[in-house]
Amino acid sequence: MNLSLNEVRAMARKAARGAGYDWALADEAGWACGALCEAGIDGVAALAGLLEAGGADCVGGLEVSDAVWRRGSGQICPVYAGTVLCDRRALSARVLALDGVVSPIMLLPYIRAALRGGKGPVIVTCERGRANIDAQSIYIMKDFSEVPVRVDITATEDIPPHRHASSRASPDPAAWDVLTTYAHRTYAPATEASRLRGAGGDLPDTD
Amino acid sequence: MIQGQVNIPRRDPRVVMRLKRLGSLHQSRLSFMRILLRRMAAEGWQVTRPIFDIGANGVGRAVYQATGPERAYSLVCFARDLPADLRSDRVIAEAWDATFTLFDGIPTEADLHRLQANVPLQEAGRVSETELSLSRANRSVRLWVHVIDALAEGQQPDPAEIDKVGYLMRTTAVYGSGKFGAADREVIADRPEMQAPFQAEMLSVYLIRTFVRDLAEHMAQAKGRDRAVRLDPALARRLGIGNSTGLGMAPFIINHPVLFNNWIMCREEALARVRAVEAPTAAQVKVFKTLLQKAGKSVAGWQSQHPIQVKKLAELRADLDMLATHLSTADLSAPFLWDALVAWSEDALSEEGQEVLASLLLEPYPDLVDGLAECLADPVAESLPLDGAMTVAQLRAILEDVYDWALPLDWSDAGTCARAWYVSAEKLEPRLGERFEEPAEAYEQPLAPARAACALHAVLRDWPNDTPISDVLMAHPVHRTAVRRAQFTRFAPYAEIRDNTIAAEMKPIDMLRAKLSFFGATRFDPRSDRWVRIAMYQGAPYPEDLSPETADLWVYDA
Repeated sequence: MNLSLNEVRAMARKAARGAGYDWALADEAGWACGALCEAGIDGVAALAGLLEAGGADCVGGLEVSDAVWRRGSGQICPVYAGTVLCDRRALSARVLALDGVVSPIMLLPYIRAALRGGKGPVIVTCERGRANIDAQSIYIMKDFSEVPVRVDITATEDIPPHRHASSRASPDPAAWDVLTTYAHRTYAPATEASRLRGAGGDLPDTD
Repeated sequence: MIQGQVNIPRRDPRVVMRLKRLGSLHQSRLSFMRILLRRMAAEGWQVTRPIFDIGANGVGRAVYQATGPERAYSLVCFARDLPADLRSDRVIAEAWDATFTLFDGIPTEADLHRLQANVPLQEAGRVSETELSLSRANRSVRLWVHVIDALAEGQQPDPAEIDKVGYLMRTTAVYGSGKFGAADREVIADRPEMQAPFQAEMLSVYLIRTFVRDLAEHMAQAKGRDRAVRLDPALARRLGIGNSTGLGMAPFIINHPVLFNNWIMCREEALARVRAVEAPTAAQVKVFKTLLQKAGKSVAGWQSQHPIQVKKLAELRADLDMLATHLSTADLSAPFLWDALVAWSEDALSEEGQEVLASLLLEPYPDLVDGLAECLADPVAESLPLDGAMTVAQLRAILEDVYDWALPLDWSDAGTCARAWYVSAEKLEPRLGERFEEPAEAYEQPLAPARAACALHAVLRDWPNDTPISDVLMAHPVHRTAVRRAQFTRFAPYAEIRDNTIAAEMKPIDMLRAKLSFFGATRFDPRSDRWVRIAMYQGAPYPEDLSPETADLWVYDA
């Protein structure tokens, strides 16, 4: 499979919507998925995992008052949490943790984005997964699992290796099929009436 | 030229960003196809035809190669003999008279083999990162038959027949930007020749036009043998490439607010610069008058059967007459002549007349206008971070400024939210549904930014004024898009359409026309309120005649 990043973002966005996210967070999911693919990481697989795990039900009500962010006793959607992280410019020198993040690999592009503007690199660790991230790069040192975990973000001196951005995506075909199936939920069923009145012209256009 | 000291501001977005005015825009110096031809001429681009394997029945393949100072691009063409009952311009079509792709470089035989297997299938096939565009075209059956029969008999076709239609083939989609596997825009955006918007697509269509002329001559030759003649170059120039555009294009200007802002803002900036000219030279006035006259002649030839356009064309013709009359009695030596003309037009002319005038005013001033072409693109691709520190009060002020017209509306009123945009499972064709008459709402696409802004404004009432917006979004992430769009307007004043895009009376063709005018399209001919035919490159020189002398004002010779 060889896809353009635009195709990936467009499909990811539709899939997230089809899985129950509102359009705004679906846009974000599309962006995050594309950003992972650009970094050479299979964002399609990550998003498919998030959608299958019910990420759309894990949005809202994030508690951010102390150093460990929680969502009551529930799990945290990484796309939603990522937007909060960036909006709040939460990555200063202190340690930050998020407890119960589903498919945490989806959080990584947000961490990178949040480090723009002169912030130093961080190490992101969880029970299964480790990454070194700065404002340019996401470097996965140990593969992330999808199981909801506590994610710790700590400052580091280590600068991740920088690589050229990928201009294409080569996702796992099964994961792409998952996204396609969710995306299909956003299409209205074709009907004769819809075909006649929804598009096209009143005057002949085959002349 | 002499530039006045007075500062003429750009026109207010409240005036410019209304659908009726956007639906009245005309091509200008900043149109993308004119930018392309000016560059190709200035840089001496060469177009050759390394392959033309087309049979007597018009079936086969061809390659047209455009070579610039740094690299070459190749239009790969596949032509077939399409049965009439398969011909349709809609997205749901599955076969076409001709299909095309713009290859990034010079294709090998292996590339051509791969493209042969995919390009004729269009959306059902795949292209790759070496392909920059994917497109297809259908014949104007009436004109096609007339032209080939005439040439085969050694005659030139009837100019009146040519002018009635304006093209031998019309494209029904020109896909770029990563669709169906093609290269993303990012791959080419840093190349000087691709920096302005849609240059790959405009180059594709320019080469398609050359292919179509060649194909018609070839088929006439096959039919008439010794009797056949080639198409007179003057008649060939009157043929553009048509285009048939529907709802698929409408969401673009909503979904790319900063990019669309840039197009509008560059045009408004150009207009403001010209209005600030205190004393136009006699030569500049002459250019304006000459082109005004030509524009009048061109528009006289625009045809449409649709009641909307018949009315608009009548108004436009009347406007151009009024403008010519007014100009003939005006004191051309009075200071700020152009600004006075614009001021007069705001009372005297329809929106179409005002916008034709605006476009014409730019023509005598390439030095003031053409450099703005570099500001049309959106290099940050709208990836700027949302400013979470903005306060509720600050955001409210923006919303009350940009959406002052929308806030009083009752969004539950049937007329106000009458429509719902959706995508059909049938080949993913975009459609516009009537919310209360069909089950479109469950599949509604987010194409009503004004409604979203009003919903956001309502939510803000529950929050203290100095709350950072990040707190509001943490509780209600659904409003992220609306916040982002509002924040864009701080530096992109023309980003938002100041009209309701789901209203009962909304005409999608107004959105289509806005984008198409920036392509450089002419001869707008709506087929309904959501489907429009246009011509592209009508009047343009073919590659063999392209030079700095011919590259620029050809659109007025159509």
